[in-house]
Amino acid sequence: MTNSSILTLDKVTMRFGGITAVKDLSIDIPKGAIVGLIGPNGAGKTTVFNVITGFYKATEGHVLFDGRDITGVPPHLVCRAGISRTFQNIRLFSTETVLQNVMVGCHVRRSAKWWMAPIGLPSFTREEKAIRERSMELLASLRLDSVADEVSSSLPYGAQRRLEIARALATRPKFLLLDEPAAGMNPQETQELMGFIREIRDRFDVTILLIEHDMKVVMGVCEYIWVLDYGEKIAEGSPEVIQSDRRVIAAYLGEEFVHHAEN
Amino acid sequence: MNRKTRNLALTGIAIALLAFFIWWAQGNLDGYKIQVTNLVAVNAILALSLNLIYGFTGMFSLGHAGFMALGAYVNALLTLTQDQKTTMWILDPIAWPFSVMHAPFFLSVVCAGLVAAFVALLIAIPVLRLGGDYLGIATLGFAEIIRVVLTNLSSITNGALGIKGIPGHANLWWNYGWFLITLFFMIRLINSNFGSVLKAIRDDEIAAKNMGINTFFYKVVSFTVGAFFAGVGGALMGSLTTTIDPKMFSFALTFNVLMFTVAGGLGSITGSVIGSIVITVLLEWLRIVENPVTIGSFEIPGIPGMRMVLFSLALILIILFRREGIMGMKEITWDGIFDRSKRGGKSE
Amino acid sequence: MFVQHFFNALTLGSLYGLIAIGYTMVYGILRLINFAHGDMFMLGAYFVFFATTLWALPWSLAVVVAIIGTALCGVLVDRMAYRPLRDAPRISALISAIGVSFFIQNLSLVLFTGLPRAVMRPDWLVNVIKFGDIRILPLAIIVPIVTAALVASLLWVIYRTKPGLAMRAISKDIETTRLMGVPVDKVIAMTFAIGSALAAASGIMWALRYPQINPFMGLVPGNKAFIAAVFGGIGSIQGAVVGGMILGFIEIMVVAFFPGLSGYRDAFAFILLIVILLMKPTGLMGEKLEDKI
Repeated sequence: MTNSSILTLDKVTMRFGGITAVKDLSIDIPKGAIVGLIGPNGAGKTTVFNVITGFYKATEGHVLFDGRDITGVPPHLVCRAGISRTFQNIRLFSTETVLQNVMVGCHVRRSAKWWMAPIGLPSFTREEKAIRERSMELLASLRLDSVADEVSSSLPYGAQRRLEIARALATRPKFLLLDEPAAGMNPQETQELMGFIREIRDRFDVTILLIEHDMKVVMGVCEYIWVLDYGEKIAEGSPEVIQSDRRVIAAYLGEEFVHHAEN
Repeated sequence: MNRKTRNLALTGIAIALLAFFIWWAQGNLDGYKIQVTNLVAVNAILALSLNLIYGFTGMFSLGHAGFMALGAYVNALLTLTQDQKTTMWILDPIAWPFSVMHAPFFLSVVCAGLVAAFVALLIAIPVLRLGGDYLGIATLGFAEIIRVVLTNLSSITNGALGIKGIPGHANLWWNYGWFLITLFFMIRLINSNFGSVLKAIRDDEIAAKNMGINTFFYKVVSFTVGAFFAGVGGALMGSLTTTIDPKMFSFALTFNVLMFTVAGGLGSITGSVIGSIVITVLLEWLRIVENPVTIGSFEIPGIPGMRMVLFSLALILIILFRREGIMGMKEITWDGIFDRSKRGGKSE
Repeated sequence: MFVQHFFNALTLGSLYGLIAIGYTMVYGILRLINFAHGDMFMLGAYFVFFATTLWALPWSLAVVVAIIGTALCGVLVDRMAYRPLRDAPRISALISAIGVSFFIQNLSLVLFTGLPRAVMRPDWLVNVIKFGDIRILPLAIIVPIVTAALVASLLWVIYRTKPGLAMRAISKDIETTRLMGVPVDKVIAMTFAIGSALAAASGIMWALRYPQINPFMGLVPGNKAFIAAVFGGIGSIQGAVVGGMILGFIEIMVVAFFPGLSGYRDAFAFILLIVILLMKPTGLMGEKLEDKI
């Protein structure tokens, strides 16, 4: 897998004071895949996301992206390198419109400088227009174009999650991290989301890593899954392998349940 | 006629009306009213500059008086003649090259802004790593340090005695000219995607970083540009009052500017303009309570100082009962006025 | 000479420390910089002045009246200007605090006039004692002792009594504490009362040491005490006292040994503040608050 892998965690350990949130974690994600990271609450999944996106610097180990060591690179440069994410507790720019949220995502790829805005050079105006058009296209592909001028915080929950994905895609990522994309969605929205995730991968040519508690989503879209418990990897494999793994069931449901099931 | 042409035409008409008003005011209003009209323009520049830093980028800065002071001093040093400076500096003789430097008014105001911006840049690099309240108190600290330095560097600033007889170039034309420059700059910047980026930093800095925004860089830009216009405002104010001293630039001055901005609406350009008009007029109007009033044969004695009591009370009441100010984050735009039926996009 | 400077610094440091406690307690609980706190210090001094002159109370009784009066003012400020904003963005409460501070200063200017007033000082506090060559005001010894006693009793309240437990709980998590049935608003009111009372005590002692009082006298010591609180680690009472002491010593000693810098005296505190914020934003004894992602 190493040849075609886009992201590699090499023995990453993250400690906060005396607490070890992630321990000796190695993950290798192949280009173009949709993969999942699961585990009980507090297993350290979001910490892994924060390490990858540069919010935390791994205490030990390395993060390699596209063959480049990005350990300790600040978040905005990680994004420029091609990694984008959504958040578990939706973090939209709440006072801005839906369109503005996505346009802010486009910012990282633009060439104009801030002082060109007041001067209003033609090249600047052209670029602004291009960004606006591209953002509208993105919104359309996530079926948000009809609410482009609404304030983002006024959207229903499911739409806010989709908008976060649209905003993340606006940065032109090669690698997309989704933190519990189905949280708070109703069954129908969840069903749609699964379709969206596959569509996004194909259409935007991205690799997707997602954290999710809804097993239907995880088992339905992920090709490969890693399971964390107390910051340690306890299992990895295809959905079928994970579903029948004794340690995974124990981590989620407790050791007793496994005994019950086996007897 | 498409919307863009229409808006351009309307803007042109508005500027022409303003010019006509200024021309009329110079011939027909008394000195006091002209002074108040001047103050509105200068205060609006200051309110816009603080709004850029605090309202749009979310950095709680309490250092405005410091930047204004720098602007006012630079302008005073550049517009006074060498003779005036040599006679006025009593504590210490004025140091070279400050004794001889001189510039025409426009250039002098630009320099005032640039010096304020430069000092802001030096301050920003360490201080903007702090967030929230700490930033407020640190910027307040820097403003105080600037004031202490101005008091002590008497060979440049004439110390606590201050500077008198600054040429009063800042007439209505200059003040409103600078106001329009500031307003134009703000509208262009805020309505561009860079404005959205600043607001993104205000709304959620962590998400902004994740979207690839170098938040620190843009915070420094916003702070420095805001300080530039604060310096411009300070220069105009110094030229308007013709007298400055370090005491004038205390925290109370920052408080006044904060009041214009908050009353108008944090994060609203039109709000800052309206806030400046309302509060400036209110502050003048409140002078009534300090003057004796005669009703029939009764004479109610004026209460000195009562004006600031009511003024601070007004700020508390605004925060308690209308936190978002007059405009909130809304704007008045040509599109908003003329296309009520449609959902308004911003004017280009 | 050094001994005199030492006692001067100890006095100044104690006074800063006492004010700093109020900042640190309120910030610890509400995450609010109570800008009006420096004005409580001023009110304390004025209440003594009016109690001794207008009502002709004996000095000791005037002190008690002043401390109680200031504590009530602190509670009133919280009730009127801060409590309605508990659920608002924190910056609103901060702006309200700035407004309250200006309101109190300007109202005092109207009511008390801007004339500097001289506060009555009992002779036994201000008659210089000589130890050989060293001349010391009894005040310079009494202020640190009173301060130590006040701080000790405050720590006792906070760590050994039920209201103290409630305060500590609120500073950790206000909502949970409310759900546990603690009358949160009452405890907060009590915090304001204690903080204001200590500021009043500091203001009264300040007026004994520097007997000219005016409506703006709280501004500079208030700012400096806040800096002391940040320096010591905001939220920590011991830190506030230590921060106050360090600030007091730096001010007195730098001016004593580098008289050329005396004009910059008021800038020291702010320079110190910026240095500490850049090096260790949590202060000397503060706990780190993590941003949650």
